[in-house]
Amino acid sequence: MADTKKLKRAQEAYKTLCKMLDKNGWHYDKNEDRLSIACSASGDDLPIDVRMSIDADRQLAVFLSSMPFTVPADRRDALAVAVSRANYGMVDGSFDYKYSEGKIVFRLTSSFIDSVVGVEMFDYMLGVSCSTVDNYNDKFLMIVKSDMTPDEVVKVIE
Amino acid sequence: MSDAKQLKNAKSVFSTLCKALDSRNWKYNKDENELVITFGVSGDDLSMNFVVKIDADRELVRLFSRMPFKFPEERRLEGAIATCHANYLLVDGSLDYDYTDGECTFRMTASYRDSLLSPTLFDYMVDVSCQTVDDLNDKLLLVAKGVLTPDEFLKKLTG
Repeated sequence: MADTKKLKRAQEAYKTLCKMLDKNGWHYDKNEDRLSIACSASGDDLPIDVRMSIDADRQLAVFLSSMPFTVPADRRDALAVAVSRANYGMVDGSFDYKYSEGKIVFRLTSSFIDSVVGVEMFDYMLGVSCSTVDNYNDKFLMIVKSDMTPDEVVKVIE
Repeated sequence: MSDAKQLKNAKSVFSTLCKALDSRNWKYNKDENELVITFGVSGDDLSMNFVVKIDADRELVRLFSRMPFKFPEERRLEGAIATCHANYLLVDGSLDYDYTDGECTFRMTASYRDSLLSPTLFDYMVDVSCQTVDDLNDKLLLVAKGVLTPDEFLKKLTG
């Protein structure tokens, strides 16, 4: 449970997050108790799920986006290679892959411990995350629907 | 190429990073031109080396720690699955795995765009990274050597 000082800082960060979204004209659902928001964005090919939250205990701003498909069992190995390859070139954020269930979630976090974070930081988080998800979600889906070998997968993701 | 203001900000962040390490009496090497510091830590099993770079263009603090081994060709798929297992459990930071040569690197990033970062934040980055790498490196090595399957690796992580 976050102490009072951490909670206050987290609430400030959440206000700044909402300010950024309002400034950029985003329509979103707010949960002020959980310090989270949810919305979606239109990508080039697939819709982009957007969930942002402020973790008061850890003092972390978190972006999460779940892929709108599940990886079937016979393609799980291929997607492990695809996700690894996508992550390898990345500057910030990563795709998290729950191999046992075939779920892929993009995650990007930024700490604000004892720090003051501005609107532009959240703008950066949202912009980079949506762009990265949009870049890879269709490639992952193509690999799911294909019978590409791991070596072929590497070439597609590169 | 960073503009003058970005570079000034980056140097200020670099200075805060160095102060954070100085205040805990850590020995490190620094390159003030490149805004990079490097340091080593003795872990429970394997030694750990860290690089922290202030990226002036992107306004990011970027921390890396490369594993001191590679996954051999015959264990490359296992490396991909194991690193995915680990990443799914992480709250901050991630393992980057190069399937083409078996190299594995822990990465953690923090943005300082439009923000004022405290020394405590750098303490957090260093502490969490050291703990995470120390927890994972020996187990990943066992997967690389074929001693553990990715499933067994996951069981070790989740207890």
